[in-house]
Formats: sequence, structure tokens, C-alpha cells
Amino acid sequence: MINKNGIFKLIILITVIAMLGAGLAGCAPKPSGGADENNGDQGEVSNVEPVKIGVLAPLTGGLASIGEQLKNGNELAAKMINENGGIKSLGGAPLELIFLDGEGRQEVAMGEVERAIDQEKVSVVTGSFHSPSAMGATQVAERLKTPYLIQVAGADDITNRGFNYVTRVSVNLFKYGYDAVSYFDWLNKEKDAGIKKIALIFEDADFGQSTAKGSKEAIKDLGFELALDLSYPAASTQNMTPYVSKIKAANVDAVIATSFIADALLLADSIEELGLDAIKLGISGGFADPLFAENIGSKVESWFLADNFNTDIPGIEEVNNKYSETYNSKMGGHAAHAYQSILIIADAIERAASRDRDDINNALKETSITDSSKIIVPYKAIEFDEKGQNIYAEPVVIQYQDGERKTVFPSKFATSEPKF
Amino acid sequence: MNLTLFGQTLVSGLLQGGIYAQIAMGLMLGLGVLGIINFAHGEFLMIAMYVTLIVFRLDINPYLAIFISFPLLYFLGVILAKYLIIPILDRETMAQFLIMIGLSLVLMNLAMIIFSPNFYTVKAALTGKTLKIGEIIIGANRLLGFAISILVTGALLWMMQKTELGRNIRAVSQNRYAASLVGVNVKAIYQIAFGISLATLGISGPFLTPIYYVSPNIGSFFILFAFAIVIVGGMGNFKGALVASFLIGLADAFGAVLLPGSTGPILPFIFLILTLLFKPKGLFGGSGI
Repeated sequence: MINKNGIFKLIILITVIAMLGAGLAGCAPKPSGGADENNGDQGEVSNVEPVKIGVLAPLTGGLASIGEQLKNGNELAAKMINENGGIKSLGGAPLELIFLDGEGRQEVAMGEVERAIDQEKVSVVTGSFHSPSAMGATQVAERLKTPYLIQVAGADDITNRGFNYVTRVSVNLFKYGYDAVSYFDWLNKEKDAGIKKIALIFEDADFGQSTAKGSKEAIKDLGFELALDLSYPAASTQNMTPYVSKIKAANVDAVIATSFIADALLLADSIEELGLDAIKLGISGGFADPLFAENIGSKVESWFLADNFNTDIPGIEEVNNKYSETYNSKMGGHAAHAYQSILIIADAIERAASRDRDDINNALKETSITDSSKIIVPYKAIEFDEKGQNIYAEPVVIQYQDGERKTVFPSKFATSEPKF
Repeated sequence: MNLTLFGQTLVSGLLQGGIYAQIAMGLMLGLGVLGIINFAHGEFLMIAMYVTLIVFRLDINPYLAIFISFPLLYFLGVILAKYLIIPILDRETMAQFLIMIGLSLVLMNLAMIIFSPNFYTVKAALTGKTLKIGEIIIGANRLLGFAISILVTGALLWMMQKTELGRNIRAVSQNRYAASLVGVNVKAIYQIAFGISLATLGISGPFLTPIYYVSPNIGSFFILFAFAIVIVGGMGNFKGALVASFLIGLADAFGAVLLPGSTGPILPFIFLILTLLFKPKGLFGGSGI
């Protein structure tokens, strides 16, 4: 009986729970079978030996629903390229995608990428939106001298470690944070928003810390006042009201939040409950999740959401339609970046005219895609800086207006005016 | 810290404490009577919350889910006690640990398979409604959740102290051999007590769901605080647990407002550690049940 055995066991128990909590994210069972079962329809097969591409995505576990979108985007792009004659400089070699199930767990992702490089002999690896997995996987790729094109994972350190084989298409977290403030600057200049005091509230792991770092730098650069700098541990915060009371008491003009979906929902609820009167911007993560809008209902229209994609971006109708036809769901940012990444890789292989990893890596780094018909993400162009980060990757600011997800910033992609 | 912020934090902490209380009470009943640490307690709350979600999706007032979740969880408790818990009561603590952790994982993964890992919210009649006292704003949903919590706790206290069933439960908790000698059906009491322990969650679920959201791992968010409350309040001490719930809720709220960075949630656990150091039996003494 616990009363007699004393309280010591309870301490152990709490430790166990805390540890369990950390490991529960990816605990769904993994279906049996290897990577081959995951390879869907990739278009016609030609006689030329294919170029193998490893695609890392969590296909089972708690992140599987996003992993599925990533898989679809990759698959659709490879299919389109193969249908159009494959890699011409390699005699029409088709692309063969080898899907690697990282389960949203770093050690699994690392193992899968190593297997793909060593045994499947892939020429290049791409994929992953889960930053910890991407951090580990790129480390493996760097060691085995294999080019790795990051599709979505945003952690700054992925491209800050001086790796030679890493490139990234999408926006990094620092940039998200920075551009959120730039958006306020633009609102002030163009729309007389009168924003001076800004409050930051962010989850305290790498995701939130990195965006906050960007925001703080921009607040300094652009002459705003950082009125509040709040962070919270997402896993153990169920009551957002005290944080919101604090923001309310600080009388700020605008709030920038970085949260996962659960805390984003609680935060938005508390803001509504306490009637916080400020311009609100949520960065990617939970705010970009369609579940946010779905669950929050009409009050989502009072939020600005920073994301890396929106379906109203001009010139993507064709891919968008094809995607909806094939997968019976809407194309989101993950799928779009996956699609874009395969185009970038195909372009690099085409130029390299080689299956060799180093040749492809060199070609990847010299990528310069400026033809907007070849870009379906909201970036002006795709070119990588010396660290491998896409120079033109910038977030778009989205607002739900009359139930539609409208892009309101930057102006070149905007389809509507911001309302606040 | 101005007066409004102080008042708002105070109210928010008390309301949150009330919400923790109803989860801790059931946990303590199971712990005190059966002596088993129910790791899956949070997952049973999750079941009640999914029941609420289903009822809500059927376009029925989500509060009415209580008529399903309350009996459902009670019977779930009775059945589990009979076929899973009672058979392992004499095993080593570690074996019990593993079985209960296993149960928790099974339930969580079942929910993931059935309902997907997605997050869902439920809108109730009071969603978005607020009450204003001066400058202080109280969410109506939270207030209702709080009131239900106090009711549940009160009912549980009354049952334990004033009813024959309560006396039997206490007798079994104090000495199950002696209780059986004087004619108490120990196994039946175990089943009923565990049933009640889960049934309290069946009451809480429908009222908590509109405040939070439903997801397969929602239970783990509450359980840590519930355990902290049981320790701070004193094992088996229902009144102590109620006070401890408020203390923990307040510590959580004031921690968030007063402490820098993301160190706020440390405060309730500092409180927990201090209790363990200086009053290891809990602030109000562990009386057994």
C-alpha cells in the first residue's frame, strides 16, 4: 500500500511520468514492411537506370498526418518530371524516390538516412519538416558526403553548422521572427497602424527561442519597443490566462506568438476571454496548422498568421489542381515545399549530368531558379547562400477574411488588404 | 504588479486550482483505497473528453455528455478493478507500475488510432461568455468547471464521511483484513471505489472539454499536477487536497506572472519539493482515507 511504503515511490513515479511525457509524441505503432511499400505511383518506368532520391518524412507516429502531405508533394513532383521525360542529360533517367520513415524521432531518422545512403545508394537525400530529425539526418548526410536538401524544417542551426552538403528551401526560424516585426513596420508605414510596443510570447524550446531571437533583433533594428518577453514550456502549461493578463497589463500595441497547436489554441482562447486589444500575429507552427482556424472559428480572422505558403499565390493553380485531383486534399505548405524541392533536385541533376553525390551537391549549391513558372512557393527566386539557406525564402502573412485564407503581405504576393 | 493584474492572476489561479482538484480527488481515492498508482488516470479523463466530443459532433449540448461519460467511466472502473487491478494488488510495486503505465500507453494509442492525433475543440453554450467584476474578467466556462469541481469534491467528502459506503471504503483502506473480518466485502469495495475514482472524471470531462481541447495526450497534461496535489495535500486527505489544489493553481498562475522567462511553472514544483523536504506527509498530514 502506498500509504505504508511512503512517499518515495511517488517521486520516482513523477520522474517516470515526466520522462514518459517527453517520449510520447511518436509512440504510434509502425506497420511492418520496408520502405518499398511506401513507394507509390511515380509515373512510367523507362529503361535507363533511375536516379535514386531518399525522402525522409514521418510516415507513422504522431506526426504522420504531416508526413503524408510531404510524401504526396514529393511523389507528385517526381511523377510529373518522369512523365516529362525524366533527367534529359542522363538519357531520360527517371527519378526514383525511396521514402524513409523517420517516425518523427531523431534516432530513427538518422538510421533511415544512413541506410538509404549506404544500402539503397541514393544520390541525394531530401525531406523532413521535423527539426530534430533534420538536425540528426543532415549530420549523417554530411558525414557520408551526400547532399541533403531540407524541405521545411526551420531550426536555424541546420544551416548554421558550416556543413558542406546541406541546403534548405524554406524559411528558417530566425527569419520568421524577424519578418513578423518587418510586417508591423510595413503596417505602420503603409497602413498607419501606430504600433510601438510589442510583446513576444513563445514556447521555450528551440522553435520559440529561435523565432524570438529574430523578432528581438528586428525590434532593435526597426526601432520598436520590446515591452514584454514571455516564454512558457508548452508541455506543462495549461493555463494561459496569467500570461495574457500580463500582456494586457503591459498595454502593448501588438503581440507576436510562437506556439504549437495545443498552446496556440489555449492562448487564442485566453486572449479572447480577457478581451486583449492588440494586433496579433502567430508564427507558423500551431498557427499555420489548419486545425487552428478550424477550432478557433470566426475569431481566427483577428489573427495574422506567418506561414511559408498559401494557396492563393499566383501561378500555382495547375499544380494545386493536380494535387487535389490526385490526393483528394488541399495542397499545404509542406506538400508545396516537397514538390518544389524535387524540382530543385531535378534541376541540379540535370545540370550536373551525373549521379555522383559530389557533382549533384555542387550543382545544387549553384542553383539559380528565377523563372516564376518553376516556383510554386512564395519566393521570388531560389538561390542558396554560402551556408545553404535559400536567400529568397521569406514568410508570407496570411489573414482569414470571410472564411478565406488570404495573403496580405508581402505586397508582391498579396491578394487582399490586411484588416485590423 | 498593479491591482488588476493581481486580481486577475488570483482569480485565474483559483479557477485553475479548482479544475486540478477534481482530477486529483479521483486519483487520490484510487491511490488511497487500492494502493495502486493509476498512471492511466489522465487517459480516463481523455476518454470522458472524447465522449464529450462525440456528443458535441452529434449536435447535442456537450454538457449532456455527462449522462454517458459518468456511467461509462464508472463501469469501466468496476470492470478494470475486477479483471486488471485486483489480480495485481499483491504483486511487486514495479509490476504494478509497468501494468499501469502500459494501460496508459494502450489507451493513448487507441485514441490515436481511432481519433487521429489531431486536436479538437468543443464549443459549449458558455464558450466566449465572460463575467466582469470590476476590471477582472472571468471566463464563464472556467467558472462552471470550477463550480462542478467544488460540487464533486464536496460530494466525495460527504460520501466518505457520512455514508455507509464511505465508512466501508475507509475501513478497507485502513485495514483490509480487519474489514473483511467484520463482514465488509473487500473486493466489492475495491471495485466500487475504483469505479467512483474514474466516475469523477466522467463528471469533469464534459465541463473541462470546452475549456481545453481533446487530443490523445491531453491526460498527461493534467496528471503531473494531480500527483503534485496529492503529495502536497497529504495522502488520503481530501480537504488537504482541495487546499493543495488551490495552492498549486495559484503558484502556477503567480509563477507565470512574476517569474522571469519560462521559469513560471517551476513555482508549483518548488512548492512540491519544499513540502517533501519539510512536511513529507503533506501540508495537512496524510490520514489514510
